[in-house]
Amino acid sequence: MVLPWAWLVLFFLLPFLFVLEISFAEAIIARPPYRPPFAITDDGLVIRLSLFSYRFILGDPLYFHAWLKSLLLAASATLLALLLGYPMAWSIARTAGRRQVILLALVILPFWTSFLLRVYSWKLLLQGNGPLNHLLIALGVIEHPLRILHSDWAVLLGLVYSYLPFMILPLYAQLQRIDLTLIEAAQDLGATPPRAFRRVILPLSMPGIMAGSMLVFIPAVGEYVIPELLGGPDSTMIGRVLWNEFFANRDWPMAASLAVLMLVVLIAPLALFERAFGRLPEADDKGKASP
Amino acid sequence: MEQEPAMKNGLDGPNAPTTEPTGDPFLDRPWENPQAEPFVRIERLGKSFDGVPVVRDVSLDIHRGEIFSLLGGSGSGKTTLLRMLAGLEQPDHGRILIAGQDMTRVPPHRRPVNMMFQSYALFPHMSVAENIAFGLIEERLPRPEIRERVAEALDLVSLSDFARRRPDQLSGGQRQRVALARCLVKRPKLLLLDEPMAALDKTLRERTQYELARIQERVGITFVMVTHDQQEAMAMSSRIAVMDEGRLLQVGTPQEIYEFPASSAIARFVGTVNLFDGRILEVDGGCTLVDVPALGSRVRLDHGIDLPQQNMIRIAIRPEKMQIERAEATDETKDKVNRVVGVIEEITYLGIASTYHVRLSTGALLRVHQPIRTREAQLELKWDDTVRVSWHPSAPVALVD
Repeated sequence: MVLPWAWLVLFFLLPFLFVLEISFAEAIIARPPYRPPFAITDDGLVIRLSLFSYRFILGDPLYFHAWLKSLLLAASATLLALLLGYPMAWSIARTAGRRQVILLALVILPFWTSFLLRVYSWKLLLQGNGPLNHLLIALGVIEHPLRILHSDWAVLLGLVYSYLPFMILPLYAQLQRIDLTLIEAAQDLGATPPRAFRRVILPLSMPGIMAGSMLVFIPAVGEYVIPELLGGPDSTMIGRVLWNEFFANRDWPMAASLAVLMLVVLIAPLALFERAFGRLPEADDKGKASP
Repeated sequence: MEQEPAMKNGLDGPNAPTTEPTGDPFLDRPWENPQAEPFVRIERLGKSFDGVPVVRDVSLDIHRGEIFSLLGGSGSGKTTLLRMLAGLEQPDHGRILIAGQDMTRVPPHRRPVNMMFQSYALFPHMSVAENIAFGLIEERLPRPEIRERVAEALDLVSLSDFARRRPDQLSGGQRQRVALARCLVKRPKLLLLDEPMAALDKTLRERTQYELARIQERVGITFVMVTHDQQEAMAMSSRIAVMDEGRLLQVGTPQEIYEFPASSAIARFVGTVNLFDGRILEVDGGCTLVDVPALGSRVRLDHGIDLPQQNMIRIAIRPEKMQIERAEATDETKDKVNRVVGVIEEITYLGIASTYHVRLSTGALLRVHQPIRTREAQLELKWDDTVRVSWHPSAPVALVD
């Protein structure tokens, strides 16, 4: 019990408290570039909490739009990853023996290459005179090269591509535990195959769907590399804004405030998830063997 | 073929399906009535998996109100046959008729048939009541009727107090009853049971056999049951079909199967049996005399045989149909019919009976089952005692394999 808590305190809570402190600081030109809100001077403890960053963020529609775009792109990517990943996870779960191991290895294989390189290669694939456009023109599908690169579509593509394994793996783990006779039982009791899916398989997949969606959605919201490499000038996702505040503007309190707000926004769906699925029964058929 | 009259096999109609005009001599044995229309007709059904035949050319008639058992070892094709009745497996050839209607290509969700799975296949995310209501919701019945019928079904299997429990909060026996109620609530024309007792422990099993038979009688639904347990099949069934390697070996009442097995394979599979090869010495009207070298004696049967003299046949004698008594070694005379002398090699005390393994001078081993009528009887015979084993001419059965 102690170790996980120590881990959380040391590597999550403590750094977060630093970020929280900085978010209430005032930006100055100095090193570090902020005036700490808590300082011990000759007059004793001086507390100077500044809400400037928060006010600024909430008052400027630029941030709001970046938020909205991030949430929208992340949500779309999650949905697409789910639609693509579910049938893949299902067929992997229903494949037997060695072939299943191979399929799982193929899902994980991309992680063996640098994430940055993989996103960068999409840039080459998608560019105006890249292989994709060449192929489509050769096939006669289009006449002029598509301008996918540096658009939200490219960002969406990059997000789905990069995070698909995070959807497939928890889904696979869940689906693999579902007893197939449950489908037969549902059909035997009068359910058509689609109804059997909706009433039995889908509810039993829910923990996997939720876990996969969280694993895709949460990092996708704060994604920086993908919009930076594949996105256009208007693809201002919040991660990119944060990076700009921190490195380009050297406004640490502003960047910290954005990080805190991001956390608050992301905690809400997590809490909902806990409430809804924290007490779901196991999907396997343990009942088989026990008396 | 004539259509079966529309029927409602309901929980509320306890005596609806099986009642026929009183005075019908075939009331209890409709399969003996040549005029009776079978309720389930299986015609030359065949099924292969990856080129390996699993069910071969099976034809079978099952009558309304029966508890019909498919008995066989693993790989005998009994479960595949049951799954084809449910529509979960498609036959390669042949037809299935239920209540006169061709069901061969009807998908499982449209068959008037329900199946109780060996694992019960209860939906883990639903309560007991929701599990039972599942099939009624698919029928799009009005809510009040669903509620009423679920309550009725819960009552039938004595689980009314467990309606809100989840399957993982139930014992094995309770889960089995939920599975049964989930099927019965649909009022199927035919209920299929795949190894219904396999997941229960022994004491529960016997009680459940009785319980299941009682419920069947009450709801009047035709049951077809798959089992590998011959005692279970004997205890519950109106008739049994013994299967092996995808074929039907014999179809008959438990008594017919046990007392008049059609082959030594069936005799061995249903109960224990002493089997010996013999040669027919004489057939004279009502009697047959067979020479059995392994017994070192001759066996007289109280029935004739349609085979010429000198033909080889196999003699089966059930261990409980023989008598055992103390004897002297000198009792071994030459002219012996239906009795042999041997030495007790092993005694298995079972409480209600003892099994004696008697070694004959020919080297053959005979198993004799003797009920224990008094407390002292057990002590009368001991290991290495010389005993005489005898039997009535009605005890042996001649088998032609």
